[in-house]
Amino acid sequence: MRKIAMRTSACLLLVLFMIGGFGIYLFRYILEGDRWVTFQVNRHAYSDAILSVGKVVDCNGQLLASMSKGQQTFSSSELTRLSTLHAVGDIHGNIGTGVMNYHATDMMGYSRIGGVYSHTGRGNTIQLSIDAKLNNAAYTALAGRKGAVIAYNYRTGEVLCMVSTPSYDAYYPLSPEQLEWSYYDGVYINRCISSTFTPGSIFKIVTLTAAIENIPELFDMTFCCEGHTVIANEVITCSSVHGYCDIYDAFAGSCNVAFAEIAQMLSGEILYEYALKLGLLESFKVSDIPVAAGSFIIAAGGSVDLSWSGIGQYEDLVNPLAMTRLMAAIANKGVAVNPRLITGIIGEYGMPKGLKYRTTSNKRLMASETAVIMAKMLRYNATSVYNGYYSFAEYPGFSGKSGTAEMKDGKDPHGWFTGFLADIDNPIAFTVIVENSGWGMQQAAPIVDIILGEMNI
Amino acid sequence: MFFSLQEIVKQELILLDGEHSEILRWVTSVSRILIPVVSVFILSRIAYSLFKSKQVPECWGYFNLANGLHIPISHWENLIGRARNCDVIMNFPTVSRNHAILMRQEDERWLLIDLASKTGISFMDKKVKDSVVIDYGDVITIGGIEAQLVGLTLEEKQRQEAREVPGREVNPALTMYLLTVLNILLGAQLCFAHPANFTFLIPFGFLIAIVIFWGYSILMKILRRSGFEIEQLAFYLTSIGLSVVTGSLANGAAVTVVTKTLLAFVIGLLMFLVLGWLLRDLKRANSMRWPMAVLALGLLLFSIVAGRVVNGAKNWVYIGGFSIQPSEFAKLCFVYAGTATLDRLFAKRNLLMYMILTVAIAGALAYTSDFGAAIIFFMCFLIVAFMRSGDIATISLIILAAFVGGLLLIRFKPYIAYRFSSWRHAWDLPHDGGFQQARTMSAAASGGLFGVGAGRGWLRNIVAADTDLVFGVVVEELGLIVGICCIISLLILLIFSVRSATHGRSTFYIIAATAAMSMLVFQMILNVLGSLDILPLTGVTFPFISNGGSSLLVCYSMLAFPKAADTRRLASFATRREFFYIPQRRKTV
Repeated sequence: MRKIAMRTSACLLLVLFMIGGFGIYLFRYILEGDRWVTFQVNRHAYSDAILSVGKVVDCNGQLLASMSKGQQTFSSSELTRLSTLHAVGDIHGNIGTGVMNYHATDMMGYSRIGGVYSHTGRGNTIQLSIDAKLNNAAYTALAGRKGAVIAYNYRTGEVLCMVSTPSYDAYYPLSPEQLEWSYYDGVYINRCISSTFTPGSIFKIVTLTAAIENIPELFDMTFCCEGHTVIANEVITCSSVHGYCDIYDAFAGSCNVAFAEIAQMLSGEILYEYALKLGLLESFKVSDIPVAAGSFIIAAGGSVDLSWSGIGQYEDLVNPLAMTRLMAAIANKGVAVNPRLITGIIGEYGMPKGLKYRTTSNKRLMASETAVIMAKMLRYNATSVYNGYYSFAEYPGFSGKSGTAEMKDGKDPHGWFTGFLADIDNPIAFTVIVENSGWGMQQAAPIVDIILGEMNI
Repeated sequence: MFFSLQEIVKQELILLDGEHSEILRWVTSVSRILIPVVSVFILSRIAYSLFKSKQVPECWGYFNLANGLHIPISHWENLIGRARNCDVIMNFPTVSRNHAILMRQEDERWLLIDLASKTGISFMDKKVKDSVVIDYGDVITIGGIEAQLVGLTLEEKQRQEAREVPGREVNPALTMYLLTVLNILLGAQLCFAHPANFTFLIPFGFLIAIVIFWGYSILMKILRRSGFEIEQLAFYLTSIGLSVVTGSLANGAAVTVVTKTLLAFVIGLLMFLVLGWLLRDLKRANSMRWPMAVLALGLLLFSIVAGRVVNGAKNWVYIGGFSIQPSEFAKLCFVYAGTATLDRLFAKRNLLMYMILTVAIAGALAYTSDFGAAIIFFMCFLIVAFMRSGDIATISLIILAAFVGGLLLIRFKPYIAYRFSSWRHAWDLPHDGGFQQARTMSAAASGGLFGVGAGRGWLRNIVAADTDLVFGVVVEELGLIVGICCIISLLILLIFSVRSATHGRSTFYIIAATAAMSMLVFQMILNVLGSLDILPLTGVTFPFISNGGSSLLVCYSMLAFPKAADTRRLASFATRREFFYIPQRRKTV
């Protein structure tokens, strides 16, 4: 008897097998449950493969999208539908970074505890930090050109304006023929989040930061610009003849000759180190949505490529949101408050749900002393040059840097403007890029002016 | 009259849903939390009752040795010898490792069987050839050592009667009340899930189940048995299964789906009682083995002759409007045929006939292409073979042979290979090979811990959702906690059977109980892990829960085996009370 009784314990292997196997399932459920519920046959949240629960509103509670069974409602204004398309997303899931797609689980109110059960059956509301009014202004200002506009509060991290063009009306999805048109190139990509561009002169901010910390005599140096310089038998041209100038004026005048020299003094490794440290080469997250990382290739010392890489040409690529975050860090004494797109999830009966999107996170990108000097120099750019343009002089603490990124394929350059307001009441950091438009001061800067004007600063 | 009343209630519900939908919402929102809470409560009470008490072994007499040793005889079948895993250990060099078997006879006498030991057994100064019948008080010589078999004194019998009775610590009535509450909650959820499909059968189905549950408890009270945790576990699983089939009704299925389940439940319970009664008498039970073996094979041959092909397997037989799966009944017979008393385990080639039966069954199943059943029969065979032989080398060889056979099968039956190809890749092919698994996982994740409410899921609309994917339906509608409770219920049955083995009266009961419960757990493993893409999907039912009359009926019958192995005092109706009467030919020492 005892012999057989001992043999029966072998059956407990089945118990162990069940526990082990189900343990694997539980582990997968915790890791991947949110992916499983967004399977479009899930009729608790989808009807005919289209999300059927939840809403998206802007910072003022204005409706941007409302999903229910068989009916999808978007903003009543066509302009708002166009300007918020990439932030909100589309019903077919083409714009993967739109909150409707990326945060579908939040719209259905999914949690690993409660599943997708919704007491009212209507799901949750995602409140975006975006102001539809600012988005509309930026979209209008882009005037049919491809580009990206970002403005965010560098104290709270709230993204106030995020526009990517080209765009289309969510009520009229693009036909396959339309997608062939060059006008709609990359229409499903949110350029603010998922694209990287050649930075041109705005990369001088990185080179300068590296120079401040690595060239002790920087502020005693005098640069001589004759409109061009020769490095390794190749010519680097400047936008104008700057003559003899110190680092302040070299930066304000965006002198390529001076920065070509500085890049040689620093080396490619140091430039790479700073591009990395300043957050341009990392993929951080904006409300969980991953931002595209930029790239920087280390060129050999003494080569013309090294000089070009310090001026933001060569193989340099940056993401507009990462650039804005760098501006935010400079404005905020070196500490970047990470941008966030979602300010909260509103559950049934208007109950706020979870703290996940309500908290801010920070990252120090540079030493506070360096940030103070950089802020001073960016401010000097405005007082010495930019304040003469548009209404920039009217904005308190206006600081920034324009850029014009030359294209290798001979197309018109990208126009850039990035900066911030050094003003405690208006802690705004911003970046504008207009693709293949021309000179940054002419193409991108007016859009900055329009948004800041719309903010009533 | 009846139908007009039903129509009135239905219209009222539709009106309520339209005008005061908030009320219906709150019923779901509150009950979806209560159902898992009640489930956990029920299960923990049952588990506590089953495992808390220290099991005091039964005692049938003593072996008194010349050196003063007083060895209790705690089973009907005892192995005597020098080895440490003998039941009566006689640690003398002249005694063989496995020397003899002492078996209790129907007439209170004992049969002593010599296991071809070197030194043999002597009785009345004569060498025993094979076996001898002895009474209490008789002195025998085992390997030259004198031993006397003595019966229990009156005082010892009273001590036996004073053993702990289950049900003292955990009142079974309260568990029954909780089961009642669970059924009421499930019924309420289903009445409100789809008012347009309301029929009285939805609440009545649960009402009938509650009446049967209580009827059974009252029967046990009359029989003065207080341990029926095993049945309560089955009742719990049946309630969950009932919510799955009633959910189909609430979603517009025909009423027969519920009536069939209730009918199978009642017949299953009756078969359980009949089989349990049959097992009380070991001699009677033992004599049924051969007929059962013949029946197992006969049932499978019957499905070959009269069966219809459904979903690629020829395993359904239609008789007078009822569809029956003979292979389900064959499982029960196969377990029965496989079990054996201790003396048979020491017989030469004790497994040979069973192996022949298994091969014959495997052939029949291959012919009907019932791959799922084949793998379950094979598992059962492995367990029985191991318990009867204890020979790991042979078992490993059999597994290896089966593995090769399986590979050949995959080669010749391409649809099986197709199932394997999508295994672990359900999310790569969610509309093709991983169709069912991806949907099961999506639905199960949607349910979270508490589910979306009985009858409100969508997985049930997928083909075979109420059988092969039933675990997904349960988790989607009732939540992960209830799903885990269902798994634990079956694991408890198996663990309890293994635990009972130490105190069982006969290996007949022990082998049957562990083999039957292993079979149920194995089915659950294939069902749950298959639908969740952790094992290949084989299309096997979840015991007690999956929709299917034959399966439910057989699951209940299987429970008779652990009942017969449960020797806690006054626990099981399938275990005869033996201490009531004092044997007449008892000789006191």
